Amino acid sequence: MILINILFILLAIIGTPLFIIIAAFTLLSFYKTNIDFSAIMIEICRIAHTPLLIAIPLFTFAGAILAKSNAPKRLVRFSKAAFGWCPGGLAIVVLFVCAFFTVLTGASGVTILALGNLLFPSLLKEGYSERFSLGLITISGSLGLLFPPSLPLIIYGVIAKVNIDQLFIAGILPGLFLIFLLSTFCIFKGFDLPKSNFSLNELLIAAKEGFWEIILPVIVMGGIYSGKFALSEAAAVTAFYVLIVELFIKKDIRLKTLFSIIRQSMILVGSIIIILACALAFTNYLIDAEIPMKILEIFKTHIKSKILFLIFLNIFLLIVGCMMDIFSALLIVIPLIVPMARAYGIDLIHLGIIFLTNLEIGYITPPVGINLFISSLCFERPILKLYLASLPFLGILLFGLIVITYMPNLSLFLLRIL
Amino acid sequence: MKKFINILEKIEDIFLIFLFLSLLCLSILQIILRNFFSTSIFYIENITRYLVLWIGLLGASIAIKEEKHISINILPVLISRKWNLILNTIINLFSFIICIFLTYAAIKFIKDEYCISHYTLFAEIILPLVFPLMAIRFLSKSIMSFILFLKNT
Repeated sequence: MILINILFILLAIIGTPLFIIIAAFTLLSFYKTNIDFSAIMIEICRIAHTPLLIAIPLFTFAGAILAKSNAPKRLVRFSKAAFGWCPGGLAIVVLFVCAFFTVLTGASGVTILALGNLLFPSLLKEGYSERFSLGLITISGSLGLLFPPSLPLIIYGVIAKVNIDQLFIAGILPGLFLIFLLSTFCIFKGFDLPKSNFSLNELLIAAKEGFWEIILPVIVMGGIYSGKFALSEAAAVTAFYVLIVELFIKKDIRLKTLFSIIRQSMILVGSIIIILACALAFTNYLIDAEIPMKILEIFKTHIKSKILFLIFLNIFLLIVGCMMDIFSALLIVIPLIVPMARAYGIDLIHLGIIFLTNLEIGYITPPVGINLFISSLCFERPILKLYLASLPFLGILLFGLIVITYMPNLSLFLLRIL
Repeated sequence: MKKFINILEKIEDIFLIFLFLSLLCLSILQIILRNFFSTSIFYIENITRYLVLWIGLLGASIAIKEEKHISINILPVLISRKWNLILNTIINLFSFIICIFLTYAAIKFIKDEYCISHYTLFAEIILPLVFPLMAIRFLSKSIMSFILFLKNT
């Protein structure tokens, strides 16, 4: 049996699709415990019993449409008009626009692909060094995970069974905090560079151009918090709205490209949902077999304090984040971590924010952070160069992570006063 | 033969797009009905939820063809093309075997469901259809990589 387990892990490392590996482990464990194989299908059908998952295809589609349209150009122009006058202005624009995009695309590398070729040349043109520009865009690819209504937040809420509205509120301050830290670095880096003059006229024109996209977050969040529509409905509204704007109002997307966008984005959705489905089966087995409890026992004998546990958690999650994509990481690790966190007295909402911040950083952690590879492909630069380029940003984000982890109030403060 | 497969794949694509558009339209319809007519059709929500399952499974099947599945792909970048072909043969063969097991599980599941209730059977019929499809895709990819490997040596 141990041999088979090792074989599966080897197969995973050489590049077998992860859903196959998870299914293989599930089948094996069912076989060991004499559970009928058909039980795996019952779990897969649970996909159809979780209403929130409708958000996955709809948000992914909305993100794909925005990425293919001229919306990135309009958003960049607007943010440039708004922030371009301050030192490090363009770099801060990159942070905000990327965060906005990642909220919709769920950090699947789409942000870098959609915005990279637009932002990278303009950063160079403004006089930022190549290394800084590469690093900035690479880390921005996962910035925004903490802002509502990002898919990873929703998925965390579904699996850990915590209130998603509260999770959304909890993510805002830590997310802004990370952007604030990075912006400070950008201002420092861009201090000596020539700045563009502020022009109210340009700001107004850019705002008019990008009006339809700029008000999107307002519509979505306004709709959710005013109770006009539920979260899964907000996804439908977003998808529909973006479709109408880009197809009929801005006319950026032709009908023919629309179909190819749907196809491409639904293939992406398929690769996520199938992992979700298999992982649901696997985690259910883990819980039935009381494996989290067994790990907890081992933990309890060695790790006594909450702080020590949090340190261990951070290191563990950073490793997970750079090995796995965010969706499989969420599905496999949350069920293991949640009972432990509860035993150490950590708030589950705070845990979610720690979790996602960790994964966000894992994306750019050498040697295997996925965003590094995507950037390397997108900008045709050697991967080693990207390792070096992302290092200063990695340091800043790690500092942010420490603050977020050991100051629960940053996440929970808004929840208390609201 | 090749033409035939092309047509089948086209139909698959069109079906996937159709599923998504239905999902979008039905969700919007539901919101309009609830907010403006203060009514709702209760089975729309059931349909949309099963649509997500269908889109997911069908998308996952096409993702095999497009090589879009999420995997740990560090090794393929580092090794030569010849070794990659061997790896692909092994990976796809293993995936094929797992999909066969999943097909068996799906058929058994549908049989059991048939004995209990017929209510959701129509929606679950995708399971025993999509896993054999995945199995075929993995098998053909495995064979193709092996043939290419033989040609290269």
